[in-house]
Amino acid sequence: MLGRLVGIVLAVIGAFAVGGIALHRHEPINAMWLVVAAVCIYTIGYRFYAAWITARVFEADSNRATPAERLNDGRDFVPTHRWVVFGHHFAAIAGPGPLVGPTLAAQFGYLPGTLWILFGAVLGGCVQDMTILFLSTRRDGRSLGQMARDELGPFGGFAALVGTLLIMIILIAVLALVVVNAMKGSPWATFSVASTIPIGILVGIYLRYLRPGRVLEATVIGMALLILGVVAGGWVDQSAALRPLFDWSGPGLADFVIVYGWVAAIIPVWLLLAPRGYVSTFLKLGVIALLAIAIVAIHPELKMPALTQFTSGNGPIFAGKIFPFVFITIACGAVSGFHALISSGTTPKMIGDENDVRLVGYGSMALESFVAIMAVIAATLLDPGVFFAINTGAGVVGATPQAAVATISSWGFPVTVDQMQSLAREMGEHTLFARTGGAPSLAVGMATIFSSTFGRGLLAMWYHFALMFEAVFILTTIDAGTRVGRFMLQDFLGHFWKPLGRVSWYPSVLFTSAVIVAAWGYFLYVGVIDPNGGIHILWPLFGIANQMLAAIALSIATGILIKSGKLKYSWVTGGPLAWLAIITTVAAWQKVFSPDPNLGFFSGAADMARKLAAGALTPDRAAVASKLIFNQQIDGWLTVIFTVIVWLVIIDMLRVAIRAARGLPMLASSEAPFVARMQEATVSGVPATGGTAAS
Amino acid sequence: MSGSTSASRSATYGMPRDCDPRPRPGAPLARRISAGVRALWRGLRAVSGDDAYERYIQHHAAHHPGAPPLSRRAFYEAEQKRQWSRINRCC
Repeated sequence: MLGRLVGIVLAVIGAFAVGGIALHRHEPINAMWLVVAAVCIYTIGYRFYAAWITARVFEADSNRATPAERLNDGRDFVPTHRWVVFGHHFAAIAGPGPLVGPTLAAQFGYLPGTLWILFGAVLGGCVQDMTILFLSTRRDGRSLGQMARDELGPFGGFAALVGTLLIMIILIAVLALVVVNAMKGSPWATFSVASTIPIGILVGIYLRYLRPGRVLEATVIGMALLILGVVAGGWVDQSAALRPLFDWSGPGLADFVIVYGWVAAIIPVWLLLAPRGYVSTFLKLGVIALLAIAIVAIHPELKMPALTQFTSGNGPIFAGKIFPFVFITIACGAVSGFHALISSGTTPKMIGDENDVRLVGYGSMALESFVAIMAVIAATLLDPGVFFAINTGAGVVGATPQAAVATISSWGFPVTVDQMQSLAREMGEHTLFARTGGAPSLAVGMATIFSSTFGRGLLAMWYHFALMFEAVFILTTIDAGTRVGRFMLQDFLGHFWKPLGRVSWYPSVLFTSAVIVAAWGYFLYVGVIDPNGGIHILWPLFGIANQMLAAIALSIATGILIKSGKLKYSWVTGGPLAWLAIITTVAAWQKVFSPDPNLGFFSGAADMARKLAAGALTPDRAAVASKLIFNQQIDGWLTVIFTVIVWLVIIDMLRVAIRAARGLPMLASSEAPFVARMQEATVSGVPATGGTAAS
Repeated sequence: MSGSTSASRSATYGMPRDCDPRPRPGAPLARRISAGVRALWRGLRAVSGDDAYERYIQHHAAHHPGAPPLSRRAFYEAEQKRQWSRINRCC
């Protein structure tokens, strides 16, 4: 009764806040509207929709033993307290995606991104994460690919594997591009990001040799060193002797990141990847908490309008109309297919009670979605003119500051060269023009929020801290992704020549790592030399890939629901699936067939080829034109491949669904049979101390 | 959530029964705060993996008595290899 009353009150407040956001037009809106709307919507979604899904659709049963309990091995399968699983799962799913996507999508105004983040998460992303987590928990923690193979057939499994590998390559490339653009021409940022490598190694040595496995101590030391690295970056920036050593161009940094990625993938994990993973996770959680506190404390006004003229296309940051491109640009934060891989990885092996999937699956994604809302706030509290000056490539607005401010002001977002220069000085940067990729503008927004809450004088410090914070877990994702990509490739190649499949055979390790690094390195390199900023082309490709992976995951989930006799509830995952199929297909169609050279990959390539032949390009553009033309064609074909794979999986799912509806024979369910849980499980049956064996 | 659920859940790893974050009503404030802090600390250690070796030793003692367990360092190294050989970071 009380719960229902709370629900009604929340619904009224939430509806009021969403209505307020949507109807506010001519005066600036306060960020608290977004925060209140978000909290209400997540709470309603969690209390009612997620509870209904777990009870009715999943029929989650607390008396059913989970794989963690049945297969408990003390390491991989361990029944774990639900808040601990929540922390693990959230740390794994939350990456730079929900920070970058909403920043870029702010070119449409604050409203479209906010609404999609809120409703996309509550009805789509959270449901996807929770459903895959539940289905995997019922299947001994099997991976998405295995579930696809078991339930749909070999084709579904193959498609999930190829889709995963492709999206991983695009993901790493786009994240590497974000880091490179953040460090380009900024000795301070370059030094503090580079310092994370030796710091990671120091922490790694501490954790292996000095105090093995003392993760918390090592994390505290690592975080202190990282902050020292940011401070020292400021000294380097001031030093005439050291400054040039860290002042790098884009292509130079790209080469560095490519070599770094290859080395990081072949050295033992304890040396760099694992220790920095620990530090970056804590840093990430700390910054997110700090950001939430600071936003509530200063509750800034948003200066960006609710909607901009770019909703009808021709946006400077990425091409395309609001439909479908706001839904493509913001993937993580609303729906992220990649989460399905985490939800069917480590997490299901830790679930101690089937009813925990609501907190872990749905709750973690709601929190990630809230991170995306904070990114919207950080982007839209900037003067729109400043926002566009930072995020638009020189190829769009002109190479000189004067040209850039003239173009941006002509859009109706006034900005001056003086304003940009004094902002850059405050942030300890040489320039903030055309710092594409989302990270610098997010860092300016975060520095503004932090410094007005925790001390105005430290603006430059906060800015570089924010950049380092983003870079450190992007680097972790690059290393981890390259390693996993290598394992997948080895697994695949092992079918053709056995030795290549051996994960500890060093020639195979070197070779397959190089292949993965070369694949993402190619896209990174082309992104860096692109005068429009690269992110312009690469981010939509990433968004399409991520959303298509979500469509694959939701197809698998819908197929399993229908097979298990839950046809009448299949809309729970089928609805989001239909929406994702529509937006990704429309977006892919436009990226492939649009005659607008800004939007279509092939028409963009043709247009540039025409200009090159006619001699209409400036010399610096003509020099890179052939590479950009080739790249657009590759991107176009990749989009075609993604779309074909997704539709084949959807058709495969429908085939299974129709067989199920007609009662025809099909693959048996791979659900593990019911085993009642032991009362007073696990820990109580174990001696309190290590005892005999520990000595 | 039914009562039986929380009873069996409190036996899961991470926050054993003896440090339930909600002490019995009527307990002195100081004890309630210290119980909360202890629960938080255990949660932090569990989330970060700081206590992974102790957990392993407990499990090993219960299920493989007689067999020598891995050393701290060997366990740490094997765990890192296992954890980072699959997708455990996202975008």
